[in-house]
Amino acid sequence: MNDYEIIELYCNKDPRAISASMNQYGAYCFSIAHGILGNDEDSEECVNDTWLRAWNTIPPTIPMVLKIFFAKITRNLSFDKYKATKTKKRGGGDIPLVLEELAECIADESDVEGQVDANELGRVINQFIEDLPERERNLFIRRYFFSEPMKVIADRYDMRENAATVTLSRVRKKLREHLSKEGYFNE
Amino acid sequence: MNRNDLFNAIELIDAQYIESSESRITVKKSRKIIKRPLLFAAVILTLTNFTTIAFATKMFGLRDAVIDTTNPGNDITDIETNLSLSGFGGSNEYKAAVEWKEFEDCYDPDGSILSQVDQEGPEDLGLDEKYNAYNVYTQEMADKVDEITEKYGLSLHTNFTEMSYEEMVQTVINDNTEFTDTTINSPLGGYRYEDGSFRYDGDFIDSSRILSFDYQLSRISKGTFDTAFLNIGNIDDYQEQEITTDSDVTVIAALSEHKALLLKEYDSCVVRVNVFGGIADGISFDTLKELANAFNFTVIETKEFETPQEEDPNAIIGPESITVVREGIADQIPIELVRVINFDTVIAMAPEYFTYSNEHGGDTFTYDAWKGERPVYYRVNKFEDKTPEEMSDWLIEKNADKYEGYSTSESDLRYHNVKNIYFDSAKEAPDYQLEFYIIESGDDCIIIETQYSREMYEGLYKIIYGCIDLFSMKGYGD
Repeated sequence: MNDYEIIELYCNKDPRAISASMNQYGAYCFSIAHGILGNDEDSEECVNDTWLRAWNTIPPTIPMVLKIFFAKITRNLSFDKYKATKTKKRGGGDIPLVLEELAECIADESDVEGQVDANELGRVINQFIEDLPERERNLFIRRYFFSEPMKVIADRYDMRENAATVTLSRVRKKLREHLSKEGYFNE
Repeated sequence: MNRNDLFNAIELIDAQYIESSESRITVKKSRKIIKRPLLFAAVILTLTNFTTIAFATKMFGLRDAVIDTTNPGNDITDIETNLSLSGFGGSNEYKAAVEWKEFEDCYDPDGSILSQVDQEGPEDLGLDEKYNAYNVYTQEMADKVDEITEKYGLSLHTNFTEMSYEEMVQTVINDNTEFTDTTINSPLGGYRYEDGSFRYDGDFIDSSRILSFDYQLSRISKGTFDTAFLNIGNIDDYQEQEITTDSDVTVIAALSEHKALLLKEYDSCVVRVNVFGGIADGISFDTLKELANAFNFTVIETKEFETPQEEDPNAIIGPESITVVREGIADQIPIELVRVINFDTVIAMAPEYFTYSNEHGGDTFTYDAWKGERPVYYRVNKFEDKTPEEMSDWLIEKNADKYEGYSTSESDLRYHNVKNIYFDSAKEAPDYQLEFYIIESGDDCIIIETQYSREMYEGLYKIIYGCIDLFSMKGYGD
C-alpha cells in the first residue's frame, strides 16, 4: 500500500489506516521514539499514539510526505513523554546529550519553556538549514531531529565519529550566530 | 528561550530536508560481534567497514564474485548483494566464502547462542586460538571452518598483528612517501596476518588539495580462508573503467553516486581499495586514477611479512615523543597525525577549533582568534633519571638568554603536579613564547615543550591538556 492509499484510508476514516501505517512505518517511528526515550515500553506507546494523532489530524491536514509527517508526530509525542518522565530516570536515549548540545546554541536559558513564538523560531531554523551545506544539514537533522547517537550518524555518512562531532560543533556555533543575528539574544 | 524550545522548533524543519537526510541510510541488521580480543579487532573492520561497499562486477567476470543477492524490502534500492573479498567465481577462495556465508546466514539467526555465549563470558568458549580471526563462537562453527578449509585446501589467517605506520607506508604507498607533487595518500591504521593478507584504513587528498576521502585497502592472499565480504547495492548503479597507472599497472575502477572501488587480481592475492565517496562527493575516474597512482602495487603484490616477535612486557613501547607523521587536509581542514607516546592521535587545526582524537576518545575545543596562519610547535619528551627540578634548571640555562624574560610556577593540570617554565618574547621573534610543562613520572620526568605565538595560546593550552590526558591513560606521571 502506498502513501496516497494510506492517506485516503485516513480521509475515509477507515480503521485499516492504522494497521497500514503500523505495517509501513511502525518500525521507523519506533526507532525515532526509542532514540528519544530509550526504552521499549514508552516508545511503543508513543508510536501507537502517533496513529491516533494522525487519525485525528487527517483530514483536514493532508501530509505532503507521510513518513516525515509520522516522524514529526512521533518525535513530538516522545519528547513530551521524555519531559514528563525524565525525573523518574526512565531511559532517555541520547536526548540528554542532544539537549546539552542545543543549549550551546542559545545564550541565557530561560527556565520557562514556550516563551518564544515556535513558528517564528521554526522559520528561522529553516532559514538556517537552507543555507547549510548538504552534509552539515544532514548531520544536524540526524542529530537534532532524530536524536541519533554520533556513532550511528558517523556510520550513516561514512565519516569518522570525531569528524562528525567536529562538524556538528561548527554547525552549532553557526546556529548560535544565526539566532543572535535574528535577535534571539545579544552576544 | 531554552533548549526545549529549540528542540521543539527543530520539528518544523522542512520535510524535504528531513527526507533528504535519510537518503544514505545504510542501517543493517548486523550480527553482533563476539568480544574476543583478536576476533574483535579483525572482524570489526571486515563487517563494519566493508559491508557498505559497492562495486560493479562486469569486467574480468567479477560478477562471479557475487556470493548472494537479497531484496528484503519491496524497493529496488533495498537490493543487497554480497561479494567475496578473497576470490572470484570458480576459485576455491570464492567457493569457500560462499559456503561460509550460506552457513553463517542460517546459523544462530536470532542471535540466541551468541547472547548466551556473551553472558557466560567469551573467554570460556574453549575454542582454539586459530579461529581468532573469524567470527566463530561455538565449536560447531569452528568445525564448519575446518570442514570448509579442508574441502578447499585453504589455510587460516594466523598471527594477527597491527601494522605500524612505517609498515603501511612501506607496503602500500608509492615511493614510500605520502606526499607527492600532486596528491597525499595517508595510511591511518590497519592489521595484517602472517600469510601476507592485510587491511588498513587511509585517506587521500587529490591534486586539487581540496577533495579528500577515506578509503580502505585490503589484500587477501590466495590460498587463505577469508570470510569478509562486500555488501553492495544495485550493481547496475556503477560505471567501470580500466585504469592504467603511471607504473603500467592496470586496475579496474568502479564508480557510483556514493561509492567507488579499485580492484586488482594477482596470482598471489586479490587487492581491493574501497573508497568512501562517489560521484556525489566530486570523485571521478580521474580521481581514482590519481588514487591508483598513489599505491605501489608491485610491493602490495609480493609483500611478505616477518613473523611477529613476542612482545617484551617490560619493554617501553612506542616512541617517546610526539612525531608529526602526516600532514594533510581532511574535509578542507588542515590536519596533522601525530604519534603521542603510544597513541596515534589526530590533532586537527582549523580557524575555528582544535581537536584531537585517538582510539580512546577525543575532544573538541574552540579557538576563534586563530586564523590558521601561524605554525604550532609541540613536542613531548621523556627524560630518564631526571627530576623536574633538574630539568627545570637545565631548561632555564639553555633558553633564558634567547628570551626577554622567564617565570616559573607550579600548578595542577589534570591531576598532575606540573612545573611550568614560561619564556616571554623570543628576542628574534618577539611574538613567540616558549613554555615547558614538566611532569614527574616516577624517577623520570615528562616534558611537554610548546612554542607559539600569542594568538595561539588558548588553543595550544588545550593541546597540552590533551597530551596530559594521554599520559594519564598510559599511567605516565601517575
